[in-house]
Amino acid sequence: GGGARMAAGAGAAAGGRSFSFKVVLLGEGCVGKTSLVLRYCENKFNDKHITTLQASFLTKKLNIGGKRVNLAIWDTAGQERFHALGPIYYRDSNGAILVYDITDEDSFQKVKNWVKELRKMLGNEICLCIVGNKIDLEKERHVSVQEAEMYAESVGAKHYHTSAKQNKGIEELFLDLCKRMIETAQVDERARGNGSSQSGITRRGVQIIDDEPQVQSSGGCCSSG
Amino acid sequence: RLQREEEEAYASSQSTQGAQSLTFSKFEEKKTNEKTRKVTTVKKFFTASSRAGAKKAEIQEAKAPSPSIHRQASIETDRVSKEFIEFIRTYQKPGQDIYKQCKLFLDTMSHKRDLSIEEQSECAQDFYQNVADRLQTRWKVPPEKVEKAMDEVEKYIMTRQYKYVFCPETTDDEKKDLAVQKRIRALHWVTPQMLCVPVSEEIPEVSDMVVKAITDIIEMDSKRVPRDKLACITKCSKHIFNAIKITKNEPASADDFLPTLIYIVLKGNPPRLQSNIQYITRFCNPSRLMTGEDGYYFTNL
Repeated sequence: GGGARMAAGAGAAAGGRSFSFKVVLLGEGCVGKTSLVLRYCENKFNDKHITTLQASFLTKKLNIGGKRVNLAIWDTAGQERFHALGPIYYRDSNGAILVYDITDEDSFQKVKNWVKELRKMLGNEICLCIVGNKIDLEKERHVSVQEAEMYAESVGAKHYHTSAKQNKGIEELFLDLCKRMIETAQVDERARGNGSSQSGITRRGVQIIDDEPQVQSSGGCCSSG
Repeated sequence: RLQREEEEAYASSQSTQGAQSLTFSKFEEKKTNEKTRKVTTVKKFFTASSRAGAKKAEIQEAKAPSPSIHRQASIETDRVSKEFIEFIRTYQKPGQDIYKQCKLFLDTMSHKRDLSIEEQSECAQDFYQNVADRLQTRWKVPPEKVEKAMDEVEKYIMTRQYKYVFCPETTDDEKKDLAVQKRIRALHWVTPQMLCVPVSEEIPEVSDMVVKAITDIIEMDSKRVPRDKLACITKCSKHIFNAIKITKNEPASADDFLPTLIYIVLKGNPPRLQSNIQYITRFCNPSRLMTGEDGYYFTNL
């Protein structure tokens, strides 16, 4: 029951142009997922004096053309034995960042598995980013650029190349993802008839009782879910 | 009366559930000796064995709450109520409105105890949603103040609802609690090495953090408000992060965190784990649970 409710709430807040998005990070253990987010949120890489306590849940605030965006980035355990836990992490995500290491063919294969699973479970509601990390190791590349980009296009994902070490491509990746998530949220909102973010939920049981006439908000509040 | 009930409960447990009582007493060891909780558990046990009698008892209790049984709980409830009223005063007119809605909600719920726990959860979730919407759209309360008010609303209503909706006998939560407890006990041979846990307990500071994390997760069971339970998980997680940070000298990733949390749970074997998780899922204000930091740690658990 709760899941659907949250999914609706995770989108855009009605009225004020502010968005809260949940982004899940997926990929094998040593592809550099953590370095990627630490670089993005803290601008740190392998810093021995780093004060950040943890990199498993990080947040970032952005302002994109006057729209305020709150990003919550959920890291997932990359070990194969935790694969089955995937759904509890990516549930209600607005975006997924699937990271592979360009020097590791196997890690790209793992990304493909995640894509299949995400599309099957969440359909097209989730914005997918496939990220080839470690482009500073271009000489040791084992995943062809063309193959990766073609694959991404074939599954409706976007492909990015990054280096957490050299801080390349990371800002672009997140900015682009945010823009796509905003777009998806707005399309979603329009489809629901510009209602409040919770309009799809049928109310059962307890009703708020009013002693003064309720001022109706502009949006319809009873569209079916 | 308390004593009589306890004796009765004991007698009925002996006769009808003798086989189970052994496991149960082990289960009870884990609990602290806090009186209120003990009473609830004993009562639960009693009600489980004779359902009809229990129903009657509960109705009576609802009509005339017996101070002898729930004294400690009601002292806490009174304190929470006082604090809530004080808090709500600072919100002036919207505050009065919130208070009225809470009262109505509690009254409505008192007539809905027969509903399934999922339906009661749905009611609570709708209530949170409605109050938050109302504060925002009707009273134009700014988002930060709405959030603060919602925390207080949760505290107030759940302190009162707790005894009816935590580990309710209409579910198999209690059975699952025992199964989880047993399963964890059976896994006592698992070592940190097997789980690839990135903490070295030989370092005194680290083992200190591990002990603190275990204490936090065990403490969860003693809280009545969903958000307070959630806060225990967050505190536990922070201690885990510290343990990892001291060991590895770098920020913990999910690859480090999850196995360590598993290790802590195995080592601590927190009481009524399943019930606590279910209770939080059903009755926590969803805005906290899904997008925030607390929600992330909760999901890991």
